[in-house]
Amino acid sequence: MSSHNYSVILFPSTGYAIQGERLLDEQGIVHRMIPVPRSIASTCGSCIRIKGSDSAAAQQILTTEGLSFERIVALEE
Amino acid sequence: MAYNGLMQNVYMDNGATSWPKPDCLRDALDQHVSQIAANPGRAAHRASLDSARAIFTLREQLAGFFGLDDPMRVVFTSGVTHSLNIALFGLLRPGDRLVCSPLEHNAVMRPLYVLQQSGVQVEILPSDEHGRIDPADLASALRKPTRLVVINHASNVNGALQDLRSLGSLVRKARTGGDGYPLLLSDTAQSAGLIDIKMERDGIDLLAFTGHKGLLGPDGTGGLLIGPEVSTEELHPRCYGGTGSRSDSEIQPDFLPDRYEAGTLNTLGLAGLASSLSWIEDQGLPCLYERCSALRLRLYDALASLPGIRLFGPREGAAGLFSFLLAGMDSAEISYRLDDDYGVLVRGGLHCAPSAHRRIGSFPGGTVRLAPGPFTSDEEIERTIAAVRELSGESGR
Repeated sequence: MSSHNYSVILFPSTGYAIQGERLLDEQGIVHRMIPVPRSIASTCGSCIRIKGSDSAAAQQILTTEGLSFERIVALEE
Repeated sequence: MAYNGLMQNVYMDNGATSWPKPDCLRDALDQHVSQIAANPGRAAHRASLDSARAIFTLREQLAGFFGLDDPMRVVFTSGVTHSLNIALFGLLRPGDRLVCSPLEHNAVMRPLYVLQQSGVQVEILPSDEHGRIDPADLASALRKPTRLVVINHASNVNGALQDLRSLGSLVRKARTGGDGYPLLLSDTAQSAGLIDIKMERDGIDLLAFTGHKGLLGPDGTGGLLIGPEVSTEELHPRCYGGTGSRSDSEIQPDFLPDRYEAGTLNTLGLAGLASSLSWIEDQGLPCLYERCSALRLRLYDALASLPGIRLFGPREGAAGLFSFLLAGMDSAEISYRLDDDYGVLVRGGLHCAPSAHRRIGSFPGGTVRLAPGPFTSDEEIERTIAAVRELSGESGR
């Protein structure tokens, strides 16, 4: 994933993140599971990195499916 | 029939733990230890994530198996005793009332003994001679402040099955007044993997299961399924610690399943359980129940005609086991002779269920339990019958 602008989706736990990656898979949103960047949270779990331009679509998918997530954070490389 | 020590043993102790297990279990365990089996949720590298994915898939599998919508409400434990302890100590407060069947295992009765010291009121329901509850008796017992009803779905002593669906329906009807109680907690140690159980359909709010009996998985696996009507705020954890989530906080997470899953999960065991559960689903519960019921009935009917025998457990409407005694012999002697002289492995005594034995009239001497399993052969059943027949001839002399 080479975009300079990206977002990460934070979840309460890895279990929720795994459900999130499944939903994004089903909807064809390119993503990757990565450790939560220490700059945005000091928890030690995983989060999902997506292209910045997919943030709104991802939020819509997770909200529609009722999956618990904490927030989506926009970041730059 | 002389047992020469070279004959294969006949394993009739599936009530304690199932054996043999499906071949796929051994394969799953071997595969698990042959690859990088990382700690699920404790890192973000690919092996850890693969473990976490496998654990989540098993949560989904179990939720579907037991009729629960949300897989995150499947909490893994070391077994049914641990699960029951979470539910009992987590929900009950001094002054609360609890109603239970007379066939509860010590996994319930010992926690209740402790809880009674702190002011929890316990009422054991009346029953028929096998320990089965009449729903009308439960209905009249469901007065305030009853917080929990505990029902052992199938007795580990005589196999008696409770009519969970009728009892669950009554508990739901009694849940009036806005406080969300009473709830129904069911111990499915002897029924899961043999009898179809669905939480929503059967009115179960908390379902405790073990992986190593009817589910044919490894020891050290089990879980507590928490229904949607249970307030997790009111269900306090029993164990606190690391979960791989919210590591910046020293407060236990309030979300499921992490709230009740402190410490590393038994990923090896759970890999085996996933495999066994898939095997059970492939076979189909009706098929397994039919096989085990037929084996039990063959044993039951053949033994019923022996002189001096006393059977414990209903002929029908039971899980896959029952107990017996022979006149003039105690349960320890019978179980020792079956092992030593005939290679038939059974469990004698009180089966960690003194309350059940009191109810069926076999306390304190206990009984001898026969528990075939889905892999028990017809020949093993006939060897068991022949062995007990010979012993019964001796006991009558």
